[in-house]
Amino acid sequence: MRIRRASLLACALMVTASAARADITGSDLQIAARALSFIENPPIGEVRVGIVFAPGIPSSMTEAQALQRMLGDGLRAGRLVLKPVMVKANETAAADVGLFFLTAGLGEEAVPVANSSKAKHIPCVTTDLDQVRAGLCVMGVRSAPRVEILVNRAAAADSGVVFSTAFRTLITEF
Amino acid sequence: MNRILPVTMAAALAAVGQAHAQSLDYGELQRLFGEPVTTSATGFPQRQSDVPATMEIVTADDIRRSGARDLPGVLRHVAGVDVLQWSNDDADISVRGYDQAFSHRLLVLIDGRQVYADYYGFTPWNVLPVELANIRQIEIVKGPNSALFGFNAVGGVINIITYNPLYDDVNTASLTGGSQSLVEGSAVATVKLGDIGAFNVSAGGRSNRDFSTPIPPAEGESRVPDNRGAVDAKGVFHLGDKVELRIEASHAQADSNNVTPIYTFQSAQVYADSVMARVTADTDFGLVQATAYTNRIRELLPADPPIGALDFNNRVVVAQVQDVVKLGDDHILRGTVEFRHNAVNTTPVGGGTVFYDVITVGGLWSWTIDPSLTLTNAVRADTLLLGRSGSLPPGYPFANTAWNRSLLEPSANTGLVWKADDLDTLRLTASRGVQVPSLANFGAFLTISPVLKQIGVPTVDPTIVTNYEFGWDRRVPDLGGQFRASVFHQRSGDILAVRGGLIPTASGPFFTQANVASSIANGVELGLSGSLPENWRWGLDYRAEFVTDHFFGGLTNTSTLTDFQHTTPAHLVDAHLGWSSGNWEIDGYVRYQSRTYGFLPTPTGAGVLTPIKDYVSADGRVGYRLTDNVTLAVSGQNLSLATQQQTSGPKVERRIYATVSVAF
Repeated sequence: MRIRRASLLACALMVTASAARADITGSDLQIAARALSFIENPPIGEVRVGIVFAPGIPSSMTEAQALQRMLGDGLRAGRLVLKPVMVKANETAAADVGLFFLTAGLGEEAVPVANSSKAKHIPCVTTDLDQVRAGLCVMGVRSAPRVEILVNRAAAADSGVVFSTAFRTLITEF
Repeated sequence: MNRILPVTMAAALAAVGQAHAQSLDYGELQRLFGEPVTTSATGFPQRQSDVPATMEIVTADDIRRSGARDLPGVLRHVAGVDVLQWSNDDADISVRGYDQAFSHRLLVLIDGRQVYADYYGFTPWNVLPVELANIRQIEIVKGPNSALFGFNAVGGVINIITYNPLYDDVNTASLTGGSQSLVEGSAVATVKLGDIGAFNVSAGGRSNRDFSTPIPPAEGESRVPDNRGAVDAKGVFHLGDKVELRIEASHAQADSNNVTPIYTFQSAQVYADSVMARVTADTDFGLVQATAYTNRIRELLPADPPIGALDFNNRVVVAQVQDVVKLGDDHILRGTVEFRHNAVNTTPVGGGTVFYDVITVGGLWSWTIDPSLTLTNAVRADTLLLGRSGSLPPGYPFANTAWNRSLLEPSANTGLVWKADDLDTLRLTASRGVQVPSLANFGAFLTISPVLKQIGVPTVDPTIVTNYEFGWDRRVPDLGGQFRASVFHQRSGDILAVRGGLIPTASGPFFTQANVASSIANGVELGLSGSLPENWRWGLDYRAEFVTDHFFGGLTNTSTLTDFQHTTPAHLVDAHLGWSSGNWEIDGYVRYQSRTYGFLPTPTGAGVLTPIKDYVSADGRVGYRLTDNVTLAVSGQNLSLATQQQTSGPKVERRIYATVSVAF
């Protein structure tokens, strides 16, 4: 039922397009990585980041390539070293990664990502806050003009992502 | 969590970090959010820009670059903070005026443990067991916050947050020497114990002579050399994935020259010890924290005829449990229960013990109405049960049963915070705070001699302070800083004074402490700060405050040694300019205080107001990083003149000192 609702919302997202999208920045990556350190049993050290994109959506491709360039051979962010792996949205089930970074504007094509995130308990992060609100990704981050962290509690629970009570008082939850 | 893990992820998770569930990793949170995080406004973590209060946060960088050698030296640079520097090692501090000798409207804590001495109503700054190098940030809340912190948080709250050994690996030593024969050493060490926990130990010692400026004849005659020693040890241990234990013990002692509540100049020896244990657990019922601590203070003041030598032995025991829970997406609740026992002997006439027990129940509700609007309400009920035991001197006008009294005082804070847009935050707050009489006010102070009978009494009432405030913060990206403004209206009812009551008896009158006046303050605070152009940082703050006192009956300011109308400066300006590049840091601070008045004692016991001209004081620091680990600094305070009249006490002297700091 949750996945079907997510599908309907994803369709709505395709229509409304880029209301909460922002070009990914290095600050966004740093925020996402640092925020992950506040989940229970947080990862530290080297983490393979699945950069999830839809080949048929040019803006998604562009963002994925920009993100891959930013991460290079490995970007230190907080307690993590993020190593990029390009993953097509419909291939996330087989992805060998510890984190999904969902590019913006995938709409319905993000549904498999949400399913994989739930099944494999892999956190999902994005700068497209609408995708968080739609339950397609656990956490959305924004670094400007003010740092904001948004978490979809239901998606987080499904993905096995649990934040400490103290951290939850500092973030926006849906 | 049940994952199918790739090998690389498994390897990473083999070194999995501890969940940041219990004590706050202030440093990591500040790096994440780009601003300090605090719990001092509501009891749960918030970003400084979100708090429903006017708050200043002094960071570790600010402390280092202040060049100060003690906490009053740091706080004198904070907008809206009043500092009365009585001697080289004695100062009284308040927020938004109402400062006096033995300032009792400011609650001071270290990591949430009260260090304000409520047996006598003051903060012994030089025996706080904390080294400046071990402070992560100092949080200053302006206005009443009794609903969170309890009694005496009426003018403001200062919560000193020290480094947490779990997250902060601080190892440093410094040596300072300078004017007034200053020699000071300080050290902090952190020991990690793997997955078990970590220790932090800090110690410091200081020796210097006091200022040599003349003591006003009415105040006293002599000075003693100043010295201070302090040691603090704390350990933080993991008791499980979500449970943490913190234990801490400290000892500090100091000799210094002070100005007493009746504005005489006296030396004092103070010894302070504390032991604290705190368990924090992130549970299905929220973040639960149980704290227990005990403070012991011994204060010795020599005889000041006709008042005999004072020897206070005070013990405070506190046990508190609180729970913070987030309900759904939009509601945060905090509940607390607390028990406090506070007792001190009578002095200079001994034989009695005055004590009270306080039972507290409090709650807070924060509601995020929508992403831009948050409403916070806090209420607290403190029931104080007063008592006295022991002998009574002949002719004393009270029996012990007169202390069988209970006081139930509610306090409350409400705040609406609206983030109007990406740049502007507006705050509307109202609060009711309670300042309870000290144990000395309640009768622990007991002088009976052929020429003077002066006592505290069980009949004095708490001072109630209500505050209404509107605040506006606006980020100014072009300046890399912000503009801050606040307007406040504050009422204080039943202000307590050391003089003002009289009980006629057959053996002569007993002069007593009494509730003597009400007071109204209206003020505005403006501040602008920035960090552009590159390498520069600057700030300019202004406070205007106008106080009107209304005395009860035939009482006057001089008969009660109370006059906030004339002793609160109408205008206070603080300016700061700092520059850093490469290995160099240079900072300058200037404060202007408008003309005001201060009290001098007279032989009759009444006071007389003496004018204090407006003045400009200047502080500064030049720091040079010799190597990655060694820093040299030259600092100074009161640099504008060799001596300067800043209070009704002795003039302060210019202070200059040099420090070498080593990080290892």
